[in-house]
Amino acid sequence: MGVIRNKIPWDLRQRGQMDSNRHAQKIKEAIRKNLQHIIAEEEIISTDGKRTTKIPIKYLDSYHFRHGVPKDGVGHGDGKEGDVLKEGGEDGKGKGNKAGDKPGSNIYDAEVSIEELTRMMLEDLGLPWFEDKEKKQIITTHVKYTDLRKTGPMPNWHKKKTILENIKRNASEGKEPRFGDLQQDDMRFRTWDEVIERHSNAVVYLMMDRSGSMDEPKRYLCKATFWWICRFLEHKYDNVEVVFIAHDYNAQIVPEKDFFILSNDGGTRCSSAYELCLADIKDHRPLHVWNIYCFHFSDGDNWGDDNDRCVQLVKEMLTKANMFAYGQVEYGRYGDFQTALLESLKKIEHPRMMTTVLSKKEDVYTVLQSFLGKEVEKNKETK
Amino acid sequence: MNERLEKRFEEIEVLAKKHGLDFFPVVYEEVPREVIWDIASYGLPTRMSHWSFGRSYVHQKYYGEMGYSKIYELVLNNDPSFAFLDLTNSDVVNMLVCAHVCAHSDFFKNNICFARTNRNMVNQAERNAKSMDMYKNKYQIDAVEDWMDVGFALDAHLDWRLGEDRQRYPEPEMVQQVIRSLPFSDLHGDDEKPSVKQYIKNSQFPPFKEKDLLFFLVNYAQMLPWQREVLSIIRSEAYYFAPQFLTKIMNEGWASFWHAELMYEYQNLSPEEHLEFSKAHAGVVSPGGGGGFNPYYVGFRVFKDIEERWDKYYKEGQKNQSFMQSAAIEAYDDKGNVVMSKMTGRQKMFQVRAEDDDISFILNYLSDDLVEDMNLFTYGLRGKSEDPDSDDIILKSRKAEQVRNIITEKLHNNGAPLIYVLEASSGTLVLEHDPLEEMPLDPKYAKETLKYVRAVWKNNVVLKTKDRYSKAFEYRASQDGVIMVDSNGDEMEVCDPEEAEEDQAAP
Repeated sequence: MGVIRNKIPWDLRQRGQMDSNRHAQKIKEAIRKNLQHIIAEEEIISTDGKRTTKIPIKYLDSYHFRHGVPKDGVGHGDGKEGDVLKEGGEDGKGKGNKAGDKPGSNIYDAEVSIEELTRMMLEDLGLPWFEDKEKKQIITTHVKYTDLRKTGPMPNWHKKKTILENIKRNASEGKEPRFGDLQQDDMRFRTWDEVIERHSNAVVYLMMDRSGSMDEPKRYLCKATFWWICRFLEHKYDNVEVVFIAHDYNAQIVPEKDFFILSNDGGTRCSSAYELCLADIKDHRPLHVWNIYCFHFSDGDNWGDDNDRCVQLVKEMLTKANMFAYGQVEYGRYGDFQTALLESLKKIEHPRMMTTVLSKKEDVYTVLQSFLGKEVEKNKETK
Repeated sequence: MNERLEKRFEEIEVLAKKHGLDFFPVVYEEVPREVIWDIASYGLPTRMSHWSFGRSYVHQKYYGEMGYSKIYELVLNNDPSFAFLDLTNSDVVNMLVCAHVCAHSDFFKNNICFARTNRNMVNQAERNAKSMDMYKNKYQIDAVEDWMDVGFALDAHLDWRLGEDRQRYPEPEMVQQVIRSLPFSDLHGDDEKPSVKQYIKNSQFPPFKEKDLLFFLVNYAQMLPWQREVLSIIRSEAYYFAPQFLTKIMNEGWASFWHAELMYEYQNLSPEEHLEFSKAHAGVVSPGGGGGFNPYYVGFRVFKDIEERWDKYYKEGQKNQSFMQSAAIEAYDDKGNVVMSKMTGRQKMFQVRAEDDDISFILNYLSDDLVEDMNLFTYGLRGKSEDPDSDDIILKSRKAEQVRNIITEKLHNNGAPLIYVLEASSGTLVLEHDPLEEMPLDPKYAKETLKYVRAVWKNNVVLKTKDRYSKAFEYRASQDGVIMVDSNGDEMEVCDPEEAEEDQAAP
């Protein structure tokens, strides 16, 4: 028998930790590959966008030949043949729980920050992380004292430094180290630099139809898209304000928490939202200060007479806004989708106009892609 | 480790030897739990690094920190055996662990499954790890890691019968066979012209169904020397680890039996210490919470049962004069059950420990009575035919035979589906999933794994298999990816029954 007494410096060895980091790295690669399936997940868009969020992801699979159906197992305890030990899930979700017999059914909480995800998306879309700020920015200058010099105007005379220099010089010349015999050489003056600060502001008008036909899944898709658009704009502008306009027959500006709550009123008149948006821009958002983004999501179920009016208003908005985007949500299997509004808006054909259709979670990614693509084009235009 | 405990360890080892346990010298070391998790995830303290070990480390750490599981010790199949004890173990737990470790080491040394394992694996693994690190430095970590992924994907497919050290297949050769009407007729001066038959010997490639996929690829696929080395290393370590998978129940049962036996016999325990030991022992061999299957418990009970039963048979044998005079060691009744034996319970246990693996151990010695006594049953998904939409897990059977079959089912072919190389002479590598296996392969995993095989073989790969309705079809891996082709040669569209179902379920 032998006993080893701490001969091996285990503390120095971090093999497990290092390899698990490698695993985490591989998981991030996997996230990157599956971005379009991940970004619309509830766990992500329900955060405030700042904290690190944990995304539940399966442990990374290592592939090998294995049987497709989980094998039966052996347990112990009471019960007779045919008893249900564990009820299956009501839908496909329950499938991961099959007796825990399937390898790889373990869930691993990867920690990824929203910023990291955003960065991955931008990289994935081939967009640079830091973009030039928009031309609409307020430039302020102010003065900051940054250095000392021996000459300068008397108002900038730095008395304390001058006294210190004087004492130092006296000491170095072998005299008593105290203040006295002030010479020109001791004088110190502050100098300043002009600092130019650019503030870029963006206001995002999020308009959404909340009439009865916008059911939960439809609103979810809107929410996911809105959420990401706000994240991107936050990266681009110093100051982003979001205005939520909910509409059915009438439109009103609502706080964020009420935005996704359905109204009871029937009828949809999209122009009401556009009108309110235009009015708000006119009253509160001077065009030289604000970059304006307008997004509108609806299921297209608009009053027929209203469409022409909508087109007219959108055209007006385009003269003011950096972008107007209309998204039609077509979720659900048997919908007979009304496309009149979409079709009329499509006819506008303006470089800053965008129309799109959302029908499943994965589309969120495509929409963001075309949205960001437009942004890039626009930047090229302005340069 | 204090001196008192060291002395007690020595006393336990002396006791163990007295009972006939024959183990390698054991070297003990107390380590923090992080090291325990590390070794538990890698299998060896010196093993190469790979992200998949990191994954199990995260897993171990998670369960350890949450308090779901505590690993008291780890012991390596090596000469000497290295035993790692958790720093936080109490002295009494450490004594139990010491007895447990001696029995494990005895098992490694004497069980037939381990006979061909490398007893110097701790050092060998370190050399392997160094080679891997060297390759990673030289050829990019990603390239080497991808290649390692291939190795780990196939390393369950071993051939026990032929083992690790093998020769290449004999080369095909032209053989001339001279045929005469009578042997030696030329000696008699007959002028008969012998007919000469020419044929190619060993023309089959491979000459038989090759189960050891890595052996085949390492020897017959085109690859760079370092790639060959990586696969060889993984294969050789797989042969080292596989017996542990195959004897888990026995090994743990054996060790649990002996730690109980030795600790009960050990004299110098105070009543408090004895109580602590009993608690720890009860924890180790508890049937398992939540109705699960605890190999420690089942193995322990089976060994206990063997001892009791053979003591009984031995006594029966002693009474029977004619049996004692016969040459037979055991006598059977009409049904083939043992009724008399010349071996005592202990002797039988040592024989079982030396000669069985989990499959034969469970099939031969987990008796019907014991299944009933332990209240075992089999469970699984309710059959698809009964209620196709149901995901319910039901209690399927309490029949002892079923229980034995289900326990051993997972152990066949190292837990992997039986897949062998059927034919490769035309350049296309033809694999076959054993037609006797009823369970279909997981399509997603099969496809991904075939991509690996194709990457190594660098030519088309075909895998013949059956779906869950026992209809034959093939996976075909080519440059453009993997497709599934049915017996008519048409590409199948929906391949994954689960995926298909989910598609339908989606709104």
